[in-house]
Amino acid sequence: MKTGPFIRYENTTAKMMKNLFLALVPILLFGFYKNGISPFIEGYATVYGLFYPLLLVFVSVFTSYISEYTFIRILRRKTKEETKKEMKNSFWIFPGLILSLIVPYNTPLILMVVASFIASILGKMLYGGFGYNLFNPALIGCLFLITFYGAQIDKMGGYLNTEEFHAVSRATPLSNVSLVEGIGSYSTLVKPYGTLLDFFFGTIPGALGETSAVLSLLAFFFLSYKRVIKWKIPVFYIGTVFLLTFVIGKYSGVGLWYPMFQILSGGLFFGAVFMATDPVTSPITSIGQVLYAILLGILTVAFRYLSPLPEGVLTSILTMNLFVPILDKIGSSRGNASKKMALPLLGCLLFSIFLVQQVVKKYTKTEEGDSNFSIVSKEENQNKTTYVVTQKGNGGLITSELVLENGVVLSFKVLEEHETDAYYQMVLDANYIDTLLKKQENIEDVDTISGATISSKALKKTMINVLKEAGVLK
Amino acid sequence: MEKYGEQYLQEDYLSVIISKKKSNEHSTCFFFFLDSIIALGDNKMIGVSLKKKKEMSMQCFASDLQPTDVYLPITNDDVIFVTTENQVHEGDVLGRYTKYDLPILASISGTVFIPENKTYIQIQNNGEIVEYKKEEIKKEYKKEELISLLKEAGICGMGGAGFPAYIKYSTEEKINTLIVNAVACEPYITSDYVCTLKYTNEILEAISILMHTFDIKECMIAIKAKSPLLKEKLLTRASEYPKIRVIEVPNLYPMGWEKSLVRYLKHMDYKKLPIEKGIVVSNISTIYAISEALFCQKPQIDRIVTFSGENMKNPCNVHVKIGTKISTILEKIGGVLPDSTLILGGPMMGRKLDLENDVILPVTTAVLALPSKAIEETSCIKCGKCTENCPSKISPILIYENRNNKKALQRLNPEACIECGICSYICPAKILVRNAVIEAKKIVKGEKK
Repeated sequence: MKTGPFIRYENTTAKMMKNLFLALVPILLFGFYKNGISPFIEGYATVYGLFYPLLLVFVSVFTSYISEYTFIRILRRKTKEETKKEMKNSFWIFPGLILSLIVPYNTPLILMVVASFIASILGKMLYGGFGYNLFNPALIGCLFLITFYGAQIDKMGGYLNTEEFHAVSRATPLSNVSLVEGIGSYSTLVKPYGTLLDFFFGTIPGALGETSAVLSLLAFFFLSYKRVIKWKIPVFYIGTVFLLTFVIGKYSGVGLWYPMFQILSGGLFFGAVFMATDPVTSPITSIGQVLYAILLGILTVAFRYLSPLPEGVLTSILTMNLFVPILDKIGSSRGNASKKMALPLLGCLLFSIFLVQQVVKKYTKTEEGDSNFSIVSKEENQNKTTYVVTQKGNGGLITSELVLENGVVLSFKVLEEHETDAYYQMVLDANYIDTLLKKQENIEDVDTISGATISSKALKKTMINVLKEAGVLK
Repeated sequence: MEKYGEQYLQEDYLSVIISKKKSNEHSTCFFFFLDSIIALGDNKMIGVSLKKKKEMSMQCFASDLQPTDVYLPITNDDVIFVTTENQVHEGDVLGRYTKYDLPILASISGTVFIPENKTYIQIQNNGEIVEYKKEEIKKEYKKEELISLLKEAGICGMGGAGFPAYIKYSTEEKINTLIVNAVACEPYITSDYVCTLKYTNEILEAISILMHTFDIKECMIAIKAKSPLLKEKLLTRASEYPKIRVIEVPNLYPMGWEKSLVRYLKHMDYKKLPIEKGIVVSNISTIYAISEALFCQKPQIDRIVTFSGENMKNPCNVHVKIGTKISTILEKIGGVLPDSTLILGGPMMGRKLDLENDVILPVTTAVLALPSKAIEETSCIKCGKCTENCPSKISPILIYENRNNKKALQRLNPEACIECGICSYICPAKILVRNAVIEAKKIVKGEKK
């Protein structure tokens, strides 16, 4: 070494990774408590179920180790000592560990092995190992699992642990709004799982490591203090999602709980703190990091509202990984920060406005007037009003007659329908119209009949539209 | 550190003086909001906190080390007035350096020897000692008179880059502010500190003459925070000079870099040289050399050098003649422990010492002996710490990655690098990032010419 510096800062890559591991330990333990210990105490899980979370993590990490070791030893033809040394600098524990924390809880062990292998080899080693990968390895593994085995795992219980399987009728909180009806309400989105505090502390269904926002938040402070992660990324990422959903919520007339729900669900905190900040696959420059995070936020919101993909966070991080070199190019070019930022930020702003407009258009259309609904006749007789209306169903228009008195629907008769017989029979069997009549005060919360969604939805919509017409609903 | 790297070449200075370019900075208030968002949480005064380890060499001071011979390095372009066997006296002019038209000065009296390849002038000591008596202080100088005095005394910057003082002051621009740099932000180095403590009066007197002659309105002496002794001494003496202020600057590296100092003290940014904003930055040791030239007619033939480090047996500051071989000084002060890395300069900016050939030059601030330890380089994890901490706000690691791609390098602006070494210092993967940036700088500059 001819030139300096002859003194070096005591921080090393190994120390940073050690701190990252330390930050993951409480999250792992919470996952073990929530999915293993708690169901066991309540009597829902066997001893195997008690240790299943740990087993999942162990299998995943062990597979990572084996696959990286084999890759270096056999494909790179290194001697035993060399392999040992390379493994020390490869930090093999992370793809496996993080992967096991984000996959659905009911992933069979054999699939865990496959996914972890994909994460380590396809996501990391094939690019040249630690420091050279383009995409986040754990996310590659998770993407593989969800794309090819998502449906299969869903049938086995998906993200629900045994306790939740018994207690909650529905799956994970649907942050993916395209699967919810309309923009959603507090009673459909939050209430089934408790309050927003449950979301904050993590006692909601979800992957092992993803549910607890508070633990991710604490990890964020710890890792930022230790200067392990790029702190700007989580701040701007979560901030952007909050801001956009706040605007969307404001337009749709829902309260502050709505953006809070959006940032606390879908593993956003875990993703923002541990995966978006993965040093290797995130920008180096300050400006690059800010732009990266803002775009992540916009993409996550776009995926949640406008696409049926279930994993908004995962998909957007993988997408943005691709653009890291371009963002760094913007960040490292000559000129002062503000001038470099101005144009990309303007782009982000325009895109956000477009996005919000699209979302609002898509989700508030029914509230302002339903084009599938029309009134055939309206007769007033003493206090009673009789409506004959049509609503588009599965096989054409459904014509119904509803009688209202003092804002209450007394009767609901279907006069004519062209629905598929099998489906319509399901509606009749379920006495769906009676249910609608009984629950007309909370009509929005009445579930549609699975299997006959469109027909039942059309009937529900008929009811809603008439109630709106009569001025009962707003 | 007065200046870093070789960015301030003579051409830069002259071009600025000749073209009198006023820097046309655009108003940035429009983007102020954006800037503050980006800079959120970033260190406003970019720099890192280093373990200073200055106590080691602070206490001990050695002087009167009369060398048996001195070696003054020259090049073939320089004009030499003397030949082998000539007898010279201390302070005699032996020739002129072509580069800045400065005199080559004999630092001891004795017999001259010049080898055939003309790489150095050797003077064998004859033991004659010249006494410099403090003459009656002349207070009134003309500008030209003072400048030629600085030139003939061979005074050049003693902080790092060794830029001649006379060029610095012979500017057409109006000098409004004189910043005296006594920061010495590199660890171990205490030569400026010791020099200031020892010669406070002379330094302040010299500053006041400089200010009077060049009609400078204010002077700031920048010292690093948490040096109470120095602060107290300077403050008590400086009270006699109303225009001189003593200001503490944060204990960060590279706070002693000109640009950092100007930014911190004057809240200004300049492009190439501080004179663009009417500011001159001088190292405090240089000011002391000027004071010697003013009051004793003594040219720049010696300086104070710090000998320190964990592996130095007797860490101390030594008053030595320019041209003394470093190996002979090391012998006289007790030598170093085995298994040491010897460094010429500070631990951040310095280079490895060549024990055979290296001699004391006006820019030599320190000689260090540190324990050797092997450092293993691992692959980059793109943590961005080098970019985050870079005082020049460039991206060292991107330059490192693109080191073979000329086109990309030009965009990445490696010329802005001041070679402070923070990127290599801070790197958790222990990559020698700075070396790659220095290489890139050469590539980009080479293509431009």
